[in-house]
Amino acid sequence: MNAIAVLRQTMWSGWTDLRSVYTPTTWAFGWMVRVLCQVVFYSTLGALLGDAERARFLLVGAAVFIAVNETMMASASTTWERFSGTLSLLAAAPAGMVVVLAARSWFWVASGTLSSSIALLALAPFFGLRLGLGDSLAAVALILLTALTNYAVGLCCGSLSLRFHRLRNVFSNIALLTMTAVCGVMVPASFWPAGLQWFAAAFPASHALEAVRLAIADAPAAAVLAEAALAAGTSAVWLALAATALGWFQTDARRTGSIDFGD
Amino acid sequence: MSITGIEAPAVEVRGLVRDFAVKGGPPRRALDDFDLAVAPGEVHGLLGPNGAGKTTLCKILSTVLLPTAGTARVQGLDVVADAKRVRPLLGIVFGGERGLYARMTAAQNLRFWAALYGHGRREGRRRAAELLERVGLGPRADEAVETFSRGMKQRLHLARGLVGDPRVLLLDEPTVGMDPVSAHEFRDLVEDLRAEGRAVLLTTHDMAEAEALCDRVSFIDGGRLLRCEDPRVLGELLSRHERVRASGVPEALAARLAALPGVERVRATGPGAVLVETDRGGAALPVLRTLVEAGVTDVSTAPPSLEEVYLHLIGDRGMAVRP
Ligand SMILES: Nc1ncnc2c1ncn2[C@@H]1O[C@H](COP(=O)(O)OP(=O)(O)OP(=O)(O)O)[C@@H](O)[C@H]1O
Ligand SMILES: [Mg+2]
Repeated sequence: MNAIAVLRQTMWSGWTDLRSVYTPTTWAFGWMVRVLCQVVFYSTLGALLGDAERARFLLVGAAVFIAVNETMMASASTTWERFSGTLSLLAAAPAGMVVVLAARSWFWVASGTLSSSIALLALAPFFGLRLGLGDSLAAVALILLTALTNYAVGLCCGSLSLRFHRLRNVFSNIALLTMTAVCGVMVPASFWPAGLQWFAAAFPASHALEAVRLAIADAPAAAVLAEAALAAGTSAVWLALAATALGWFQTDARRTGSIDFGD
Repeated sequence: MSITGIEAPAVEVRGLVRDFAVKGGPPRRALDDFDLAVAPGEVHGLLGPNGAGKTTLCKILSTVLLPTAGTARVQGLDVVADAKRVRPLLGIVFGGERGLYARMTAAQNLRFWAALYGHGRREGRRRAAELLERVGLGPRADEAVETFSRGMKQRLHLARGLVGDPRVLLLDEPTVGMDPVSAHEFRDLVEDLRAEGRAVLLTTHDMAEAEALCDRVSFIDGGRLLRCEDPRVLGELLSRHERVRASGVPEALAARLAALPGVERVRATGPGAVLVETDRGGAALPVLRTLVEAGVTDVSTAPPSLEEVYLHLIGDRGMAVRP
């Protein structure tokens, strides 16, 4: 298998998918405006209900969570393969579908990192969050990490969506709602009972978001890196789960005939 | 290749069975003790009505479906045990508009699949360009597939099936949606594939296409192989059982038609409309003449349907085609 060629071609196919979701104009004036409104909404809520500290907490949480939100779309775009009728052809191709499905939705990582970073950096001054150049660069790098590590969660939901086609919208929505609640986005993770905190720690987003918060708060680099490493580690587990679920889907499909020509 | 140096059959299917689970009922048998052999360089037609099991066979051969029992081999390799080695040998083409990335251009689609069949960037580009020329899509290479007509998508499908340089092509109703000119070009293309020594398994409902293209034709129905024939037999059946359709035919005239030599029966298909079935080559001619002389102008001839040919195939030589 020529893995580099497969990756290149797959990323190109993802790019054409992205361009069908957004034009530059709809990205900037549709999606980005929505993102900014959403982040302003939560941050303002914090300012009204609590204090400046609460507003900043919500700002960072809501802004970084955009990257999580967008990379969960990888779940939906994985199932687009069935809609284009290429699933059976991928299954029959020598290179198989693992690399293709793992790489085809990369554009959500790019778009998620970009919109999340813009939201954080553009809105920070309005809520009294002063970010120097170093802080800003660190935040963007860690938002990229957030997007990349959560992409594995999106892929896992995508694999399950292929297997359980009728539930295809359920997995990513449940995962997203769960993460919103427990990963320290709106309320600090410490608010929850210990058991739930352990559960939350299974999501890369918990650690990646914490890394962003620590970096912005000028915490020691070691603490930031430790959270980043935890994000990468949990993400690897999700990636393995995604591959397992995909293998499960393929084995099952071969047995039951649930992939048709044209699927 | 076998150890003796004799080339293994391109496709060899023995006792193949495939059952599908049916909710709240007994399993449905889509393939039933099916046997088939396709030689390298042979164009083999697989002819059968809807639900006969043609696509099921193609899916098993293409490694996306497991057989319930029996074996299937491609160039001597088992499609279950050696699936990984079978895949590069195969090219898959199915009918319809799906199976392409609609937003990518024709060339991008082909380059994508070239990569999945193990070719690097340069080779992928070369193959894509060459194949697009070959199927007549050269001028539209850089247009998005969503702007293509059905027949154009079908041509692209063919090119896609060839991008991995397959030894064996599985064509599952590849001419669905093609205009007669394209269908004709398709035939030329299949001739070329044969000349290049590739084996082709061609699934179709179109008896004329099967007759024109195939070295041998297998008839399948209800998942069973009815018989494997020289396509000339098919051609003979097609002309022997030609039918004449006419409307505005009074009853007396219909009776006269029925009395003509070679007329098997005259069926009323509506008020004044008849379908005349013949069972002898050339018998349609006197029928036509009689109709025209009687002043009937709404007259047409048609080949017999697949079902009729089946009946004749079985009826002519007895039911016991296969144990
Ligand atoms: N995934 C499946 N689940 C249940 N039954 C199936 C499945 N796939 C095929 N079948 C059944 O198997 C039989 C053979 O189907 P198949 O698609 O192979 O027919 P075909 O010869 O290709 O027909 P057509 O000419 O309509 O394409 C049919 O009765 C069909 O309903
Ligand atoms: Mg079919």
